[in-house]
Amino acid sequence: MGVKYMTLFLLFFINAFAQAAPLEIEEAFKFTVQDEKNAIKISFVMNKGYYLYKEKFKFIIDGEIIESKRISWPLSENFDDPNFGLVQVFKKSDSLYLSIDNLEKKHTLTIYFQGCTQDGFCYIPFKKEVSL
Amino acid sequence: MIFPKNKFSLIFFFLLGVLIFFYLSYEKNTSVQNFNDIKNFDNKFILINFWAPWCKPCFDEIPDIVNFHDSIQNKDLIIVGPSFGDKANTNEVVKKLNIKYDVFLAGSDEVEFMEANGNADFKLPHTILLDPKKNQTFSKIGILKDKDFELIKKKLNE
Repeated sequence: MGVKYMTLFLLFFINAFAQAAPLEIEEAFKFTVQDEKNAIKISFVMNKGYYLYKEKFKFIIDGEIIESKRISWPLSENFDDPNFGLVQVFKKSDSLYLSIDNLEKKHTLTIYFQGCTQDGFCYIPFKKEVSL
Repeated sequence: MIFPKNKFSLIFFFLLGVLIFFYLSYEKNTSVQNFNDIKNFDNKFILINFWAPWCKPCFDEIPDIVNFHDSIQNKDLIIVGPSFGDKANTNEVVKKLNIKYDVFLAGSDEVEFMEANGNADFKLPHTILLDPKKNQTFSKIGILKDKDFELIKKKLNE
């Protein structure tokens, strides 16, 4: 019985420590990209307590910026930022769509993003490149 | 009369005066204008707080560092705040939060330093304490808590 409780305690301790350690950016914000008919679906997986700024997102395909009218955003949340006032953030895993025509040949998508944790730290703006 | 009579003596004393002036100015100057200046302070502890104006946790943390700076009164400690923001926004925050320690814009030296100190994806805020020999004795990514300030104080007295 003692060993069981000790194991449970150790697991709890390890889990608590793992949650407190800052995640590397690739782990903190995981993106997957799917090429759909006339659209690109970009999904992001969020960790608890982490958020991404909506207005810091930028999408570039082969050097061309995707205009905002071609982006379908998921529901965002209000966030009171000390410098920018009320801004929109994503705290939950979700997907957005870029409406693109004629994606027949190979393309490179660059995703620019910036995120923080609710009570700890921010990552400087990052970019991720994906081959389509 | 002590006043030098020939022009060579006059020039000599003038140059001596200039040298003394610059020596005294240098001794009194503890201002850090860029990351390389840190090397000039061999006998000092350096507390480096990497931050950015767009970073909310940094914004929340800085008033505590300002208070720490005001309260510590330790002549052997220099606090610097390299900023990963632009000049205008950085200056605005410095004014708004009444930061009295040296703040300058971060560049490639700071980037290399952070990478070498286990922060390759540049999480902010990141605070590092260097001892007088420039060895890292404290490092934290995220907001400094009371216990962190106590630990820094302890390190300063070791």
